[in-house]
Amino acid sequence: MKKYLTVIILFFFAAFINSQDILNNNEYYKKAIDLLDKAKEEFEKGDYDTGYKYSEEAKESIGKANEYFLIQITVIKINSKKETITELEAEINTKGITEANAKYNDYNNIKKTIEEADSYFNQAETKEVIKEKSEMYLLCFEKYTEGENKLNEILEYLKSPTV
Amino acid sequence: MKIFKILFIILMIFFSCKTTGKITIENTEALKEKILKYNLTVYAEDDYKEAEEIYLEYNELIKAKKNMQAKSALKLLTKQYNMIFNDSMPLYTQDVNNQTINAKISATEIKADVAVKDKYQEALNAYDEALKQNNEKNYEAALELFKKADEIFKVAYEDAKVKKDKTNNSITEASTKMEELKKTVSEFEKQLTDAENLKNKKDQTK
Repeated sequence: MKKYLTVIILFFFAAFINSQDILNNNEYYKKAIDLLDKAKEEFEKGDYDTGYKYSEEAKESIGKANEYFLIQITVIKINSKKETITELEAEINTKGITEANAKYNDYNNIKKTIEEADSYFNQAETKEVIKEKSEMYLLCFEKYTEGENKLNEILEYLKSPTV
Repeated sequence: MKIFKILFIILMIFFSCKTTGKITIENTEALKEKILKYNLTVYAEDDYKEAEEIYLEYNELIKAKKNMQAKSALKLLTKQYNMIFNDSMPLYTQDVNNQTINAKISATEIKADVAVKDKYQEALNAYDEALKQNNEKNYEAALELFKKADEIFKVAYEDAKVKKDKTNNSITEASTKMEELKKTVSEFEKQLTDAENLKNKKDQTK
């Protein structure tokens, strides 16, 4: 769990992440490299059975590294969405939105959508199985996207000359 | 005392006959079969041709019922076959040994001593025993052991090769998958950089 949290926190604060960072933060990738090295080493020694065992484990780990990479991408996209949502909320607040405004209830409902997204994010963090984790992050991403779209609609409404 | 002396002489005659071995056509033909079995004729072509001539002559003498002359011919034939066998066996054994050495080298090169340890050891044991028999000039025993070792070394090589190929394929596949992942991540990095640049441009135009 700690390793996932570390990776996620990193994504929160890193404005720019390069591929080496992505790979270095992927435990499965690191494990795959280690296993593949061991497989090659045993192969050179002539212990082909052990080499094969390590190589197959490396392949399995690469598969997991791929899945984890997809999670990493989703988390990066989620963080980007979060930034956009914060910016949109700030802009809407600058324009001013009161109870008298027709979109006031919609604005409050968006907060619920964002809370749902946050909840999915937290659930994703607690999941141990990569596939389940990935599904939770995707649901989170969808909810943030929904929130972002609705916030854009409200902002467009507030910008219209009739308001 | 006299009885003991006679008994001693009888025993001496008995053991002398036993160790020398009786010269019969059956024994001589058995020797010829051995020569043919091991294909020793290639090492003594002329000597074998000569033996064949003696063999024909012996058969004719038997037909002609010239028993005394036939006995001499048989003695000569046996001597000839013995010579061929005794001279050729070390050469043939050495040839088989060389063949075994090649099989051993191939098995060692593919690291069968690690990959199929037990099989390789079995071959090695047979080979060591073959060398021992060869040094003691027990060529027939050595020959069979060299052949056995050769066969097991070859099996060890094949078994190791199957394992080696299987592992090599697996490692190649794993390496390819690893490279594909690196490439995907690298492409994503490019997309990230492009997105970052686009965002910076947008911020500047605001």
